[in-house]
Amino acid sequence: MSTSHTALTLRGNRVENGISVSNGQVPFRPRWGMTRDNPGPLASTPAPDGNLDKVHVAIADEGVVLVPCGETETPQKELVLVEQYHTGSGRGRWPGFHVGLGPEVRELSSASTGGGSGSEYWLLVSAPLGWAENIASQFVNERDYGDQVISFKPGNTGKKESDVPRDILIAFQGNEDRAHEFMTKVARLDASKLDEHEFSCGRARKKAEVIRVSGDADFFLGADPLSVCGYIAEVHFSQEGEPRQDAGGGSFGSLGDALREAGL
Amino acid sequence: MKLYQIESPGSSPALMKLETEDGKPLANITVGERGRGRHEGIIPIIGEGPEVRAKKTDEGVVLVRGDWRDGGQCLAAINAVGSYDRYRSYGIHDARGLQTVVSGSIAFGDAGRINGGEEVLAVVEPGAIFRLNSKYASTWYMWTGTEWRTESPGERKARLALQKVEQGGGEWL
Repeated sequence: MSTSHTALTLRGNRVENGISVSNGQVPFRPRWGMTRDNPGPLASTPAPDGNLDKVHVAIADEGVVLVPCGETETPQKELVLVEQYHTGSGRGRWPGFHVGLGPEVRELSSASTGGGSGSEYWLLVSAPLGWAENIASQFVNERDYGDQVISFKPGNTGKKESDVPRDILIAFQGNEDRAHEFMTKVARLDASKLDEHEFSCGRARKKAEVIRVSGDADFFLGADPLSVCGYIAEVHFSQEGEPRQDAGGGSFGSLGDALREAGL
Repeated sequence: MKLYQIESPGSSPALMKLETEDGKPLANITVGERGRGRHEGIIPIIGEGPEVRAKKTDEGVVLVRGDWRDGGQCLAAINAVGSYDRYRSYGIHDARGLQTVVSGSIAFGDAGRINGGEEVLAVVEPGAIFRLNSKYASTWYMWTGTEWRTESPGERKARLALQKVEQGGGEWL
């Protein structure tokens, strides 16, 4: 008894209905990387050119065959064309999209680029209903966010509003747990002991100074110190996000002014 | 028989012109190269007509032009050597229905010792298939008796999978 699948194409945070068919095959047409070594199609089908919507899946020794099924059949699974990619020249700051396959999916076929700028690795998988949307909802397609490996999270209904500042979220590549842990450490930091000069230097001295004052060698939790020290300054050396004011109404533009105001 | 040429692995077979650019009849065709570590084969062409047949003598093979009507066979000059790659396997692989008439060799390097392969003149039967390697890819060639078809290994596997399922084979998911 064959299982009816609804056909979907997943790329980053987008899920599109249907899988494109050309010349009786599901072609591999990457946007990044090279295909000079002729990677094969992902499946063959007797369907005409266009889009496959609902299919039965047959596995032969030579490959995967997709047979269109009737409109009245109720899909019990999803057939997902997963277009994983790593961006190339000119788009390098945009995150790459990769999927961690769990036991809930069955990989049917794959194709990948070889060399060139960027790369793509496509998979054809059989997955439970709702799988593609679950994956797409977790991928954050924002510049500088970093490459992401997304896994299926049952019960995940999509992104929710976060209380973490955007730059901190980017610094921790969307890991909210780690971001909150860092924010807690910052709140506990005795910033009055920070040396103004050391804290205003480059990455290495900033990092060393904060670790010295906090006594915590893992204070930054893997984030780039340059990306998060602005948050430390904002938390400890400004009130409600604005430069602190002295009694005469002037504002303090530097850490030194803030420390002097504190009587240090 | 018609005379086709596959200039290099991956290229489409094309009918070989039996006249030069000046309009004079082609006197011979060459397979392979001359030089160290190489071998050249020269096949003279005589007669008139749109098609050719190969005639074997003790001294070699001659192509005779005429208005032949052979049953689906053709002649093909096949160059199996692609761009230079030290270790790429250049040759005619997995061949069925191919009979080599004259062979030559093409090689890289002054002494012809850093890789190379064959260039042949062959009689191709209807249903013949073979595979050629270019530097990065492979191409399957099939002669149906009237036309050539080419496909990549992936496309070939996909077509065979579809055939199997249409005949009732395979396993449903």
